[in-house]
Amino acid sequence: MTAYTPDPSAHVLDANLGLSAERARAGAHAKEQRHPRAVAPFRLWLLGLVFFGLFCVIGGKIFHLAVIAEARGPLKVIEYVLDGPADEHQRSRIQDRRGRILADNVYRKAAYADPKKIQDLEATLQGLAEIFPTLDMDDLRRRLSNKNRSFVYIKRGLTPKEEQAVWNLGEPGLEFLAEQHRVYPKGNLTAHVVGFNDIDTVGRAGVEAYFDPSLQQGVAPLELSIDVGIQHIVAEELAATIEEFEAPAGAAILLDANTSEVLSLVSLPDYDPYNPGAQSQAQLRNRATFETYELGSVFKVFTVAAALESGAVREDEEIDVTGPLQIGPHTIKDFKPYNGKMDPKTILSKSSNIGSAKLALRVGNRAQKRFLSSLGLLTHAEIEVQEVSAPKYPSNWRKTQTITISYGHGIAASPLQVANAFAAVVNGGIYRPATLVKRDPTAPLHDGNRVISEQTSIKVRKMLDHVVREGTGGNAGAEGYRVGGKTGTADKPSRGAYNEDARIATFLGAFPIEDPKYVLLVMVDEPLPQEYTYGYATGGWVAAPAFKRIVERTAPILGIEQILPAEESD
Amino acid sequence: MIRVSYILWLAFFMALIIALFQVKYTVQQVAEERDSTIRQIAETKERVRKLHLEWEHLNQPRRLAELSKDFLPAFAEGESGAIAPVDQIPVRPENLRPVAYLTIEEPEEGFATHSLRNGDDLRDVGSLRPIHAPDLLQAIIAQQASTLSVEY
Repeated sequence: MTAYTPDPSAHVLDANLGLSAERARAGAHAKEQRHPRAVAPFRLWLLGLVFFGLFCVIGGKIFHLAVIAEARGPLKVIEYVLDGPADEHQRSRIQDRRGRILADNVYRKAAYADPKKIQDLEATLQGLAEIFPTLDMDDLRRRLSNKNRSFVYIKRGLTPKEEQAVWNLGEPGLEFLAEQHRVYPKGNLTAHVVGFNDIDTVGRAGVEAYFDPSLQQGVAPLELSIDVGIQHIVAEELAATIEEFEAPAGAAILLDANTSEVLSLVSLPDYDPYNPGAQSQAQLRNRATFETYELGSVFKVFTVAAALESGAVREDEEIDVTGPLQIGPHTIKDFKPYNGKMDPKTILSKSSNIGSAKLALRVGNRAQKRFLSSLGLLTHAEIEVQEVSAPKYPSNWRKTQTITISYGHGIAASPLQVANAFAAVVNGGIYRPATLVKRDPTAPLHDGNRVISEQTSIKVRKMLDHVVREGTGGNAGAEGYRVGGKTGTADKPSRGAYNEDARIATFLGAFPIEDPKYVLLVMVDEPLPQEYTYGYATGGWVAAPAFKRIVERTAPILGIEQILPAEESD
Repeated sequence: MIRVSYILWLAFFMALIIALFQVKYTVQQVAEERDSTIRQIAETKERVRKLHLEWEHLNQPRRLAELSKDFLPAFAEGESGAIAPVDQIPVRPENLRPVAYLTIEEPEEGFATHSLRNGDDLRDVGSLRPIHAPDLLQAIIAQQASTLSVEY
């Protein structure tokens, strides 16, 4: 802005030139408009006022943030750190139904080298060889000699001592990286349920693989339905039975009969989740969810339930079980031949194949298939682990198949699916898919699908009670608890035929049988007969005693009231 | 007049500059403290996480079972009869004789030397008063400060 400065000489000059009159007129005109000197201070003040206003706004905001907002509570950033989102980058914790940790992350250091920065390669290699005696030094020398690389892993998952020792080498080319490391505090005990991660913390088995995308997001802990205490008891008793009968493998499942939550899922042999690569295939195989077995006579429960539900047989109706039964080229026999008639209860308690076959024939193959389908026995299990497989059953489901399937041959399903189906039969007739995720106890129970009526379920429960009191399941009679169940002994298929020397021994039951709260399946693969079992390796001799012991140890923990001897005799 | 306002403005701007300088360094200091606190919290959380995991390792059911077998023989086996709902436990009769008498003496020096064991002869007592189980428990807990003697 140029200030107006009158030039005294101009006036004289103007006069000399004869222009004074004209200029005087122009001056008079300017005076009428307002002198610029009067305008400038006003604009300055206005500008000053605007800036002052802006400073006030900014100052006010600073005061608000620094004094008023802080007085209301801690800084947002602190809340962020304290309340968890700071862990967003960490894989979620997995815990059991009582909050015990099954898998979690910790940071561990990894040592790496930048070959370009290494000053004394030989001294570094020598130092590292002393700290990590198992390291392949020739390979490391080759990798560290390559100056084109700027990152070479030395070792991952260092212990604090190892980290300190590497520090002490004082080599500027050696550096550290904090990496997530998955920890499984319960080790082998929950390996088949929880699964494992690879070194980059990506789930490769079990729920770790099934829920990998949501676990990666690091949101709330994943709460499983498993109870570690119960899991330990079941695993211990199953391991004892496997050892006792010199069996190579076995599985056991404990389900909540009503919600179908899995409280325990054991598959033996199990494996070390820290080192899955070093385990055998037999250890890594999940026998409870992935392997399918022809579980034999436990299927008779479904046959009897279908027959009672469809009205094909009355509860007190007697059926001729005199054998053998000839169906085309096939001869159906009973383990112990019976002659005469039996009601459905005795067919179950004596485990008569002929009786079961006749019931199935009355039901018919279509109704039988429909019923087994409604129990989830003909489709993939919906359980939340990666290791599930489809059941195997004949595509051509005719009379012969109807008969063999009635006593559990010719259909192979995973033990978990069979236990799940059994829960539907005994819980009042509602099928709910088994789950490994803890359900909210305050939430209403999922409706499920009704597969049989309440009355049929009660009738079947009475029969299962009879199996344990009078029939083949006598060894499952737990002291102080009313249990009901069914034995199963099936020859394993081998090269197109059944191998009589290789069996699957099973006991599938519920407790307390008058109002089942839990379903338990115990299965032992290829048990060997023992002298004290009189040469038998059947479900009643092998799996039933394990069932008994598990019930006796878990029922008090599960809050099942014991029946006093006086009550029991009622 | 103009000069006075210049001086005032100059003073105002100087004050503003000093205040801004002060605020800037205070903010930097607070930011550093905040970063350090965040680091400390993260480290503490990591330590707590590790301690939780250590606790879980120590509480492996198999380990607890072995410890229980060694140190709590009465509870080693989960016998079904050992656990019952409260309403199944019989009510204590009114006229039941006390099962034990308890005397608590002032400690002479240091800790009590006598501790209760199964089969101990407990008849040597001074003054007696009947006790019930919770009292006995309290007394056992408190025996570091008192001498405990019990009689049937």
